[in-house]
Amino acid sequence: MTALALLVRWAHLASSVVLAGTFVLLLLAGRAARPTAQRWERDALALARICVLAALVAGLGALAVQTALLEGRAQAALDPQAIGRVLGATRFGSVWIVRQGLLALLAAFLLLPVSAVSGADHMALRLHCALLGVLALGVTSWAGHAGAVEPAPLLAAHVDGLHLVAVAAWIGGLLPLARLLGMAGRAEGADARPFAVLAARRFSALALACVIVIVATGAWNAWNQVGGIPALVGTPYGRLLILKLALLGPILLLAAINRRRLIPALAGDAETVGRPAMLRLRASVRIEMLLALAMLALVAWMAVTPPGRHVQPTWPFAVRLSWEATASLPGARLRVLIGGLLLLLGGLAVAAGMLGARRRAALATAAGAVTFAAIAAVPPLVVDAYPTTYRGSSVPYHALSIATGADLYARACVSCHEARAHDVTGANVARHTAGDLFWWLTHGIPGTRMPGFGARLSEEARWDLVNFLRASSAAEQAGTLGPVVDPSRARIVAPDFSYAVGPSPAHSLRELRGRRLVLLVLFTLPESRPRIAQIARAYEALVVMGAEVIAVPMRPTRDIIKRLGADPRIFFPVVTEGAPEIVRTYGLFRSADGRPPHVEFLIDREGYLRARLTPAPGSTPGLSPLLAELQRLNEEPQTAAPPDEHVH
Amino acid sequence: MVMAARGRPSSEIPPRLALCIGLLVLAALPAGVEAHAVLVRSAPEARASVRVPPRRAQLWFSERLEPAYSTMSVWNDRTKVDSGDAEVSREDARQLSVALPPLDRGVYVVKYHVLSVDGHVAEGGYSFTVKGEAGRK
Ligand code: HEC
Ligand SMILES: [Cu+2]
Repeated sequence: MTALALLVRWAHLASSVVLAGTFVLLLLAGRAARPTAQRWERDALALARICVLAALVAGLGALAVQTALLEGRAQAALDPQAIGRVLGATRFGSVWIVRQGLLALLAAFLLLPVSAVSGADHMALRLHCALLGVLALGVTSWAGHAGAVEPAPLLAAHVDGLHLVAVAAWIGGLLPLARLLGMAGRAEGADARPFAVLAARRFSALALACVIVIVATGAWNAWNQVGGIPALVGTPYGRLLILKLALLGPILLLAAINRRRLIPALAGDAETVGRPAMLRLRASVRIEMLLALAMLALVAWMAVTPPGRHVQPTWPFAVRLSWEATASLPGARLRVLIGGLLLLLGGLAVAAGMLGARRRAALATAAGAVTFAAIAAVPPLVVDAYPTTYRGSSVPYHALSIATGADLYARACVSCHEARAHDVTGANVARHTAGDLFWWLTHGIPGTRMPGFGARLSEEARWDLVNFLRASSAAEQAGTLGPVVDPSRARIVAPDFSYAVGPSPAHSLRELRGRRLVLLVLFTLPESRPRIAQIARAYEALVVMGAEVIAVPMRPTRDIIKRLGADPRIFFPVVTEGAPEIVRTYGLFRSADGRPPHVEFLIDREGYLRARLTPAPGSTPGLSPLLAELQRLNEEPQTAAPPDEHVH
Repeated sequence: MVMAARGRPSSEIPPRLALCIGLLVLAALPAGVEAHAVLVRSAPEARASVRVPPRRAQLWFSERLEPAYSTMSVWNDRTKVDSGDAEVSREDARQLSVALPPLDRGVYVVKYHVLSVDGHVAEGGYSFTVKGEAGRK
């Protein structure tokens, strides 16, 4: 089924691209006056007719395949009811209808004997056809991956549509252009030569513009759909993109040769001048076209492959570059800095070479500078990497997982490691990715006694351990977190948790993200009673300041709410379900020294832990320090990006 | 005919090229359904153990869903327990949910099968537990 889907997609894409490109070229070439050129025009229109029919048929095929896929049975492809449902109830269907409608209109223009005569009408008709072809191609973006980009699918689809249209205007014109060059390059086609030369020149100018658009929109698309180097080299989608770019390279090279060498050589008045160049240009254009058709196959393939941003990448190299790794190496950052400066020098030399006269010398300087830059900067940046290095946890960074991980750690790891996990949460762990830790836990660390747990613990359990280690490591960083918000401090992600109050359904910390500041209060009775009362009395003021309070008993009992008393009344959630996991997790962050019976955390709107308040037992500090910190967070511009959303 | 390349010496390349592409394509075809829309969050959460039985099971995805082809169900052992009215939220097309009757204690499996607006299908599932004093039969 996938093979069929791919084939249909490719046919769909290639025919639409050639269709749109042919009309763009016809527009560029202008009206033909001489017999050979007119013959070419007729040929080009015949090509357009074939393409429009092919596109319509491929459209039918795409609809059949999509219907079969959605209904989950092959026969559905011919079931009118099922087809009707797909057409009527999906975006694919709406886009399909629009697109087939545009194509049908275009086909009608092409098949009916429209004998528009005057020059102006003639061009108007072509412009019309070109627009229809371009639109029919562009709308498909809305039903593809671009149309699903969040949070701005419309923008992404427009950019992607522009990308497609630029591709069509350039690549789609190659086939008829080669045909024109071939006809005019023959001895008997001499009358079409000026026409061909003009068309080739205009086409070349347009192609340059298209390439610029393609590169710009393509880069933007790639950023949206792939999102980074790990996904580029580590996912099927990213690798297809690399292949696609590898094909684009030679196409651009050929295009550059055509533009710089062959097209200028076309000009000349005598009968035979330019003929060899014309035929060489034709050969080059043909190769370009073949490469382009192969590239479209890759594009079709990418369209049915999950975009890299949604796939866990498998890092293919044994090393990676890491800026964090340089933190502990004396002098390393200086080396990287020197390397950066050398690289800048190399860039300047390249620029000078392009502008100035002494090109060789400039390029040699650039090459030298880049080499030395690499020698200086790269070695300190290199660290070991594993296939899972860039994998995100498949289990969310959630109190449930961290608490489970803590239990697992106590069972499987304390025979060798410290109970409070200090030795496995040091700087070394902080500098490694979650994926690195996962790899170690799965396969062990070669050359040490650290065993692999791949066979003993499930994947889920290993991610729980990773989450626990990362929380412990973060808690260590939080050791110096105080009662005052420090904007320059590295952000610490507040582990998510879910909580329920009484018989109402559960909520999660994340639901408050982007909306409320959160004061998370871990309390113990009776020590915390005065402070809780204080917060309860000021609750209205706290809410006005954008804060929500969540109180979690460190020693939950059934009657905890009753024990808190009825005066003052408590209007904020006192967690009755989920408390043990929350306490277990945030207990890690409680304090560097001792285990105070009462601790409060301030979590900002992006979901980061920003302050920790530990009122001394017995004392009840006023609320004004707390209010001041809330005010500070309210006034702070949103600087840090929210923690990654995806559960992969 | 129109296509200049046809029947010329240079047309030796296309069949071979096409074959290569074809083989490449067949060799690397993705097997089964892969995620295009990705499950971002759920309530109850995966593996959660809740005392209060949820009244709805809710899923949030990374991409908008097609209501006509997106569905979910909740299972206890091999019995379907949800109310069968799974629907994509009107306000946020990335959210899918289904109402639940009062659940007894036990392990429940949530399964989903969704179509995202890019025309691709994704499916998956997870489980949660209802514990404690909940449901009386
Ligand atoms: C048989 C003893 C043993 C057991 C059991 C064990 N480890 Fe280790 N672990 C080691 C040794 C030895 C090292 C290497 C320390 C070094 O870098 O010299 C290590 C290293 C590590 C590191 C890397 C620390 C760093 O700073 O580089 C992590 C993380 C880790 N272990 C986690 C765990 C976890 C989690 C468990 C439980 C699932 C576990 N280990 C169980 C012996 C063990
Ligand atoms: Cu997709």
